[in-house]
Amino acid sequence: MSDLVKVRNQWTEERPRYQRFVDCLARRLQQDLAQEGVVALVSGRAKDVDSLIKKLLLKKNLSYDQLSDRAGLRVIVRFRSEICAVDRLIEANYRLVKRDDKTEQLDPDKFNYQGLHLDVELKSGVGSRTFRGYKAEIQVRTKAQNLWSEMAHELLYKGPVPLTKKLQRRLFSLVALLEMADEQLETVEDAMLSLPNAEILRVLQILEKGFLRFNPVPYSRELSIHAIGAMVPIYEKTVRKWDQHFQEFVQRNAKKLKVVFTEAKGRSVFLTQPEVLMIFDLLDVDEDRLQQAWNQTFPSPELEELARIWGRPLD
Amino acid sequence: MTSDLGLLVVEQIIIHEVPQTSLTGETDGPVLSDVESPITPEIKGMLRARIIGGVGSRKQAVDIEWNPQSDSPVPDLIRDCFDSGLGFVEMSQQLANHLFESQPGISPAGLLAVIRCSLDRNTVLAILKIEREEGARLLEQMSSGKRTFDIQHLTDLILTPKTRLFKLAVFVRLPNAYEAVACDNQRSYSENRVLADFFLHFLGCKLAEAPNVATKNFYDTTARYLTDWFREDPETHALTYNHLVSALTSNIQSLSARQFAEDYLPPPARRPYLDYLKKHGVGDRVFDVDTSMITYRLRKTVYAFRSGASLIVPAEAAQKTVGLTNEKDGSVSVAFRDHLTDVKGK
Repeated sequence: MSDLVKVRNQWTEERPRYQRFVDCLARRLQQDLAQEGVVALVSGRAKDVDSLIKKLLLKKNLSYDQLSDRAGLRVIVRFRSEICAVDRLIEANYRLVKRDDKTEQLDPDKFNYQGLHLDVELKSGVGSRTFRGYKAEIQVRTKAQNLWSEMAHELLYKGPVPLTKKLQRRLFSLVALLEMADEQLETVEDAMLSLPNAEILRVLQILEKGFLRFNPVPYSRELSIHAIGAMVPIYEKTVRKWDQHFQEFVQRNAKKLKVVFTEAKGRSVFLTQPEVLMIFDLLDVDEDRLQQAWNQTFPSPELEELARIWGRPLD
Repeated sequence: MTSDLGLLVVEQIIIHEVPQTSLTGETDGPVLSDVESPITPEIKGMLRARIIGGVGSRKQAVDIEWNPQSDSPVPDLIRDCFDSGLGFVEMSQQLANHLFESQPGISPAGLLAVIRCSLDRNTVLAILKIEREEGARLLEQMSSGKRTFDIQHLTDLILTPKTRLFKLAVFVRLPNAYEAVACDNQRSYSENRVLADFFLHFLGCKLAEAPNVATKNFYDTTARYLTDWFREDPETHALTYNHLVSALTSNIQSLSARQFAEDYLPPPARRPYLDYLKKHGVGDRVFDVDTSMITYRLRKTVYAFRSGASLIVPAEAAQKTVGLTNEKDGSVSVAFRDHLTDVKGK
């Protein structure tokens, strides 16, 4: 039996278990990221049998055991600073086997893919016994880096014809452009948040961080801005430090928020919006003014349902 | 109730059918379920919302407690289920049998739902007496190539969002005590007492605060608040005090501080009023009105002035005969209009 047939048989047998390992790791990563309030898209897969064979055919110096991406996950974040946050989080919660930071490997005058690749094992918690010794490669990228990586893969390995230097240069100039895009986007976001009239955005950022701990789902930013805009005046400068205020609110109500997001799932669209934390806070501190402001902006039955969900029905 | 209802988690439900009690004795008795009903997360969420909407309502729910004088088996059944291992299904069947035997002949046929929940680390039992409702369901369909809606008549709906067709009691097993709340959505606000007598008797409970005590506490604290809040506005003070007396002496059977605030206090005074009540240990929940402990105080209204002068007027005549007008220097002008019957020395 040839080596490749052996590998095929071995991986066909092992792959379902690796897929369960990937699913477990993806769920844990998603929860860990949510706990830290990091907005990220997590996906993963155990490599297809055919893909694995093809890789071994192309990379003759690699053996089956040396293939680190048999289990692979991808974490896609919005900004470069969030890559550092994910890096810290992974280092703290998982056993790091290998670290491959593509950025560190680049000379200042070179442009190329800059993602962070981490080979990890579970060190404790859910799945750590079942999947002892299992490794996965986690690729951490920004959206722009991901775009480059996917497109470059398509173009560079498109066919038997090697790209000319000119075409290669055009392709790599795009990396420079995307690197600049990453930097500019982050700078613009920071600048926007420090504008004097950007209080609503700052509040949203704080609420988002607390909200994602309990319900890491995509939400409508437009609806959030609309709703927060209607509710912020109710506080009338009684809250000076929004971050401290909502950190304390979440800490105080962590158990209740967990119950509410689990038991009332699907009962109000606002349970998938970060501003629901502000609604719950105001139900506790000033339900009369909340009702007044709410009824000018949104249908009253929505607030009535949220009040029941929070355990303080409006009469 | 001190427990935070937001922590409520519905766990199990069992439903029994309780027919109308027949005066001729021809009814077979309740139709009892042998096992719990399967519930989806959506149904759990709906039941959670209905329970909280009922017992969390400050205008409809009241605190209750075991009545030692009662011969209802319900308190023992609940205690046994909480503490002595009586099975949930068996306990609920006995509750249904007792409801059938104890409900008056005029009570319509309905369902008894018993729900086990958790609240933080405590166990909770919710007992619901539910009536079926009528409604319709629309189904879009094509008829001979034309769009139309088929209307289906449904007569077995329960717990619809605006339903008033249920009575509910919730018992929370705390580490060393019980906490209980009940509400009767079928009793319209103010026209009836808070809970139907038969429901309280069925539960073997009584109101946690006697109505005459609740009424006195409400009156005393509200009157003190009006004196404090309207110190600079005697005109409104007198007006709102008259409303307080009217509210307590009218024909209403039940009242809540929240409703009083909404009906009679200017908006800026409402929230501080409810906070004031809370601070002084008076809840904002509904209570049965019983003025037996304050009859004398409600009979006459006394207007007391800094000079030592007092004007004492029968309460029912105060609004008609006395007119107060605020003056710029903080004093008040009083106009009194009546027919003089006598003038004499005291």
